[in-house]
Amino acid sequence: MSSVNGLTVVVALNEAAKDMREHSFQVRIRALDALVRSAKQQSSGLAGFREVSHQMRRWSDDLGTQLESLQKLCGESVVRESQFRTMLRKRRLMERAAQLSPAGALEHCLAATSTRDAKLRTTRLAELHRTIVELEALTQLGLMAIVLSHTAMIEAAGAGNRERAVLSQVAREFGEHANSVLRIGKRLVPLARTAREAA
Amino acid sequence: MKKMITLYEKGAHSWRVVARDPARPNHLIDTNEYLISHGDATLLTDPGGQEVFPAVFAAIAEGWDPRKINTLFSSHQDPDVISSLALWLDFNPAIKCHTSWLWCSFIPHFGGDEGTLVPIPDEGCGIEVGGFMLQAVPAHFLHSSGNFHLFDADAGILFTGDVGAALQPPEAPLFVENFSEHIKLAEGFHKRWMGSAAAKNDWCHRARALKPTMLCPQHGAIYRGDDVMRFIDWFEALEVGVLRKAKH
Repeated sequence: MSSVNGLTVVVALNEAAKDMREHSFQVRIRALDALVRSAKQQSSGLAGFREVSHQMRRWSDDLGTQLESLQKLCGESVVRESQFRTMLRKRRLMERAAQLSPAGALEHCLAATSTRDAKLRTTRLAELHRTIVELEALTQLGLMAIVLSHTAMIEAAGAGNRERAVLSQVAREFGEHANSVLRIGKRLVPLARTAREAA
Repeated sequence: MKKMITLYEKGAHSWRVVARDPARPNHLIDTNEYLISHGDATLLTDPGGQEVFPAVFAAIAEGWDPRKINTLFSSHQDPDVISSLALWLDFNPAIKCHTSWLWCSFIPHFGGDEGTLVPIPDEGCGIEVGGFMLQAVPAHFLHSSGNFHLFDADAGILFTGDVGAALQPPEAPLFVENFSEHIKLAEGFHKRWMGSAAAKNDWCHRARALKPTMLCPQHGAIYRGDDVMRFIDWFEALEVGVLRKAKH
């Protein structure tokens, strides 16, 4: 993508966050359903699945927290990116004015602008870096969930005939959601890196 | 590049106009900016849009010390009038901008803070420049609902914002030379932009009473001598608030 900038990344992140929230919600529902089912059975054979279900729920909470942090960062980035775009436009006009005007007429103005611009660029770079770190954390969460879904599969296989099919389905769906989160994270990390390099 | 031309000079008191930019892109309307100086203080009227800031600033810096500009006057809130505010404040953060009270919370979208804008009440007021008093003359609804012109009683010059404006090519003369030809370029603009006949007639009475010797619009050529009253008479007789009918 030739025109990757901070706003492109923010929009992509916000859309991805909406998708991931949906995955998180679905996982939470499945986990609660699985907890209720396994509690009803009172079978010691399902104790492992109950534990995995708890962990699925916790994972959903962790994902929610991570997304909250990411969306807060997105909000800050929109402010910064808007300031940055305005700054670029003002700078272009001020440089053009300086070029046309007698030498020195706008020197103090350009110097002040440069100092302000440098600060803004530094903050913007730091934010893009934080975005990458947050996305990498999301990717890690996705990976953890995939491992957890494998464990859920194993635990489901140990269940009685009546519950096996249902729990396997829960484990499979959890795996699909985990994969989606991982895919989204992996797709966004390079986008954020490109924006950071462009900055 | 735009040029700065002196319109009036008497001792430490002067009017200059920054006008006619042959390098201006066609998609931007041409504007006139007026510098009114008294002693070490200078007021700039309708400083223009962001995109014309380089040309305006450079033309001023060429023949004047832009550091003397301590006051801006914004006849109304349009972007071609005042969207360069943020750039002027970058140059001099102490600049004050006088405008209708109506726009004091709108114009800051272009730049500035609570200390930048000085509200002008509906009935108008004096605006001081280096100890000299200019008069903000009400021109509401011509075309903006909060609109002022600026009168200099010593120089006899009335800055009229969009009133008197004509859409002309950059090579057009600075002063109106042939009124009947010139006014054709102003007619459509005034019929459409000026929405209130009552406001227009009210302004004509007020402007006539001031007996200006020069009428300086924000766009197009300047009226002087007999053309000033010719314009006021023409404007008074003009039917305004007219939407051009579609051709069938």
